[in-house]
Amino acid sequence: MRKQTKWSIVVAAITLLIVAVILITFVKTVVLGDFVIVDFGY
Amino acid sequence: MLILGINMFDFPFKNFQLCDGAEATLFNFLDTSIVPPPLLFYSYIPILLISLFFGLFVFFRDKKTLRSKLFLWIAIFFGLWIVNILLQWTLIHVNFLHFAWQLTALLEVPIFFLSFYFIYTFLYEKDLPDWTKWILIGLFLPVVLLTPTTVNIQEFDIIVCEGTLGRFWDYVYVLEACFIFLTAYIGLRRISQLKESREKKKTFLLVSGTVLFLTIFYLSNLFGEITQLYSVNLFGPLGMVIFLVFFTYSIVRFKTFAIRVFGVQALVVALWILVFGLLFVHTLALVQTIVTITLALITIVGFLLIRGFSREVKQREEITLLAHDLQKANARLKELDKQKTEFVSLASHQLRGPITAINGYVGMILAGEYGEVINQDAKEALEKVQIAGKDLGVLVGDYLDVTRIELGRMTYTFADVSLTQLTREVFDQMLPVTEHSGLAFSIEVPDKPMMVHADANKLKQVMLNLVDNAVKYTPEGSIVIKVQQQGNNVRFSVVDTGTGMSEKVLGSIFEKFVRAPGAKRINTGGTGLGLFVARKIITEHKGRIWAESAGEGKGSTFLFEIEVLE
Repeated sequence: MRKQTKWSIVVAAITLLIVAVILITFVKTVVLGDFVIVDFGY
Repeated sequence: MLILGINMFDFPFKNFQLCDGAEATLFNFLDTSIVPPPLLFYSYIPILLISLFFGLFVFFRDKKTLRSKLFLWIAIFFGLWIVNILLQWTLIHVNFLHFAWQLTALLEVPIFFLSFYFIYTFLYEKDLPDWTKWILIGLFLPVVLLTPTTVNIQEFDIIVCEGTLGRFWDYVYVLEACFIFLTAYIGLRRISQLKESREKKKTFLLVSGTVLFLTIFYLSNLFGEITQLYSVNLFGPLGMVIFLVFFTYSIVRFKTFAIRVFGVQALVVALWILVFGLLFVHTLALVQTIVTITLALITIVGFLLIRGFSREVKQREEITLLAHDLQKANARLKELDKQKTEFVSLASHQLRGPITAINGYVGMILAGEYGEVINQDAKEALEKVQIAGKDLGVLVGDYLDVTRIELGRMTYTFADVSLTQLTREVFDQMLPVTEHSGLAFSIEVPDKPMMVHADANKLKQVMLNLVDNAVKYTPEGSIVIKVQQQGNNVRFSVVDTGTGMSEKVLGSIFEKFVRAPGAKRINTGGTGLGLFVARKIITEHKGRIWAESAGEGKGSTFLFEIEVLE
């Protein structure tokens, strides 16, 4: 495999991973809102 | 998908809440009337636009290089980071705010990584070694993987609408600090390696600009985090302005990326945005702040640009003066060259008479016209004089030909002649010479006469010169002279099995005074003028002359072609 092709695949994989993580975060925070939310009860 | 679908459906009703005290309106997910200090919009948006403009401009001017791509990626991540921070100041929905907080590290860390990578490729003009890239990826992976977890944002307070950072941020801050040090380290190391002061200055500007940007960016984030005074964060992106000012200066001063006009365009865009921003502010104090920043920007960049341009105008004036001087010097040189040629012509003419006399008398003495030369030593000495005299005659003849060509005084007497006949004459004339050198000499000519319109003497001079050269540069083996028809042309060629020559030599062998490397060793009497004269003569016959060789030691072929008469 050519060196450039190898790095293109690595960069594509990292980009996909970042996009996936952003989507997961979006679902968890915006859609599900299932993080620990502190309300001091005012 | 099912869970996502259900939640998306009842999205505005479930788990979706406003920050405490915020009023829900139709488009309230982005309500700019809340909290943010006015400086925010004024400083962040222009910085965001300018950095994206810089990134895209550099990229489109220089798409192929790695450093342009990296610069664009820095601008993109920086732009995303700014958008994220702007949203954190303006959003009023807990869920969206939480999302923005959660993504901060993911957008922030690459800015440090990419800046280091950019500076490395800029300084060393090559890509990072593979192992370094794997380390970078290894260090970045935890940042990506921990982004959606509570290790990143531990909890979110809906009263003040702020999150509490998790342990993960210790790693982020240490990592960012390491990359600032690494960038500074490779920069300083490179500066100490460079010898030229101009290169040193250019490198220093870029490295210090980048390190300052990263440091201000880093410290403002860290300080905001420690003191919980998040408005300190507002000053972080101002570091980018420093980076861009240094960057613009290095473009103007050192033509980095070869885009000087770029600085002017960037200034115009920045001014447009700043003036446009005035339309949206209402208080006098704010107008004053904006005008102050605008003034500072115009002063710094304007000063740099004016200095750059005045320097350019000065250089242009100097170039005009130099061109004038050069023109004068050139005219003088041409005159001197003509005088030199006249002198060589005159001297050669004067030399030819005595040489002819010497050759003639020596020839007669050796022929026994003045009685037989009995003394063998005297006879050998006279034979040497005869050879030297002939060489001298050829030399003077070459000089005379060159001066005639240069002065435009070479005269030609064109007539219809048979090239086949001329070739046979050359063969007969050179046969004794080749026999004396122990070479096999043969001729291949067609039976019919190949008629050409030419100066017979000059053409024969060229043919003799080519065969003579072949004899001189063929220590052993054979020489063949050929005449063939090639379409409308007739081709004369001399093929030898001699020393041959490299491709580099082939390209220059017909230049004046050019001789093949090693030619002096083989043929001490040569001047490097014979082939120059030959080319001029063949050009005057509207033909072409060239040489072919498979390489040194593989023999060579000299050929010329001129138009054949039907």
